[in-house]
Amino acid sequence: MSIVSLLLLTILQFIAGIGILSLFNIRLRNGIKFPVALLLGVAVCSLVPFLLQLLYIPLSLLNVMSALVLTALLLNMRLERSLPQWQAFFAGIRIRMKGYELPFVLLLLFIFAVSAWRCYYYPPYPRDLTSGPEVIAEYAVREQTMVNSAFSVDLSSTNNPYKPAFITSLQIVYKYAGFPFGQVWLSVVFGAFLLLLYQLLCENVHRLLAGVLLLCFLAIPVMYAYTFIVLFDYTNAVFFFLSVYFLTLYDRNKAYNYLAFAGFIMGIATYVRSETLVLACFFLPLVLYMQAGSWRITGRQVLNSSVFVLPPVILYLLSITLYNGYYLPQVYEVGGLVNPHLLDLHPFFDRFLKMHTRLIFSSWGFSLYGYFIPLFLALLLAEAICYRLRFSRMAGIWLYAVLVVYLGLPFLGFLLPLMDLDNSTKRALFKIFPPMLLYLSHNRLLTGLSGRLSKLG
Amino acid sequence: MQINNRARGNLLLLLAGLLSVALVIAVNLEWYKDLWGYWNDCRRQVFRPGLEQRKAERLGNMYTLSKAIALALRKERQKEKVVVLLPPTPYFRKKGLNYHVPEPAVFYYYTGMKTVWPDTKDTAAITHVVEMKRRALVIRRIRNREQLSAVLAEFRKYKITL
Repeated sequence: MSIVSLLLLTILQFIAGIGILSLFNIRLRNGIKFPVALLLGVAVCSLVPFLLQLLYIPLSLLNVMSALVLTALLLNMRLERSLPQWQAFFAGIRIRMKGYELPFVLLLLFIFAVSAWRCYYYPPYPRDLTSGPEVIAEYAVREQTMVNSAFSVDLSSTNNPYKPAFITSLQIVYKYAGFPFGQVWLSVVFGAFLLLLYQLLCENVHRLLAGVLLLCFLAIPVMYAYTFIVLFDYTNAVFFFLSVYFLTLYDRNKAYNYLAFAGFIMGIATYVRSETLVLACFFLPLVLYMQAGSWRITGRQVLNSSVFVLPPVILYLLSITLYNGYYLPQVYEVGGLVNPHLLDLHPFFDRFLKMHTRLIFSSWGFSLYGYFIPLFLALLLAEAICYRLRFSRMAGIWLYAVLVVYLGLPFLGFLLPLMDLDNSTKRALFKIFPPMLLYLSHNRLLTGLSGRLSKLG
Repeated sequence: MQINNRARGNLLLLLAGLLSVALVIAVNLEWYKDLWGYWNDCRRQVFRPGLEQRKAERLGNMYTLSKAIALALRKERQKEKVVVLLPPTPYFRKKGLNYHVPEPAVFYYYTGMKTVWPDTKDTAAITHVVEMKRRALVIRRIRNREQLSAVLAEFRKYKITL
């Protein structure tokens, strides 16, 4: 029964995802469209119960499921756009695999299956989840509202109930779908992300190298662990990555719908983790540069860039300012969390230093992140030396995203002292790895090697 | 001839693929050992589908003892009214019990019962207290202010840990 409902829910998410792609008039090949649509569908699932709550509509099984179906249909209403999407999808279904991909594909399936099983089998564990989104979701299913008896408990030990409703909404949907622990949505995200990464890597490097790179990425111990431990950070990293990917597509074809779409997805990333808003602002120089092609920037280009930042701002206002301020029974003052001494930059440099000494280059860091960062640095250095710092444009964009996270996290730690190093920053660093991976697929040493491998098969 | 070359190339790539997989595993051996451990867990877990079993396995004493406390009070048919004062984790540790006390929101998630920690401002709502007496977990009703003050003073000697 659960498998049937999971299948139906995933199909519904896919339909909703295709609907969003149609609305933004985004054209992708099937290999990429399928995982992107699934990820967008999960995002839709996370928004629907939250919006019902904002409208004070009871979160009953009937209301939530019918709202999901209705949303999926409404998103496909513009038939002149959605029909070609569907036609292109069904016309282009082809699964091609070379014999030498088999070891990688089997291992990837094994890695995915183990993660999905643990996600399904075990109950939610981290206190960040059970003291916030999960307890709210559990009682939302019983009381049909997110503003429920969980808020009548002494909450002085936690701020987790005041985090955006992303996980709460998904947990409600999946509990209604027959999964008492929810959580299975994370496997949908992980599976779709895996497929997307493999497809994107294969666009630039030989399939053999794509497999090796993806395997190295999956072997980041702590990041793999969070594919079955539900928290905000893995999904946040996925949507952050997806937004940057659509920025690269915008850079390639200069169509504003791609920029708006990248902004929309960054909005979803902000809905998952509200601090992402700050990182979104860090992308403004890149967006401006992409439009102008140089650093001579006009007022109109500045205005156009707002398309990228506006969705994160709107979703922040909805999920934090409006919801926390006017819906929840207890007010959680976000302003009080901001560092009052912003002119003293000492804590920023201190956090920046500690991020290296304690997290990235310590023995603890290697047990967390494995050897992915040294691999990235070695290949970056090799390309920088061999090609005298002349990176390809795509590699440049991915490196910019790496830089945003690299500088953005210590800045966030400086801005919000509550964001500690050992937990928040540790997990927030997940965002740096997918851009690193995509940079590696544009690394000219690897693309050169790919050319040689292609002659073999 | 061309087909032979292609087949040879594919075979070479397959060997290279296998070698690469082995290399990545060798470099990330600790991660792979964990992964293999998870796989062994899966094979065992398939035959243990009960929800309560899964919760107990994953959450340990934090869940089972919290449930036991809630169950004991539920038997008295007082679940709706009670607010239980729980001591911090170091209190139990010192008394020889391995019980990581969940914070009130988590306890409520596990059991549907409201609890407070000794640092609560709303002491008037407390109806019961959980203590250790002669190496056993006991639940006592709060009879008067003096009794509550004494218990709070005792519990506040221990640091609250999340």
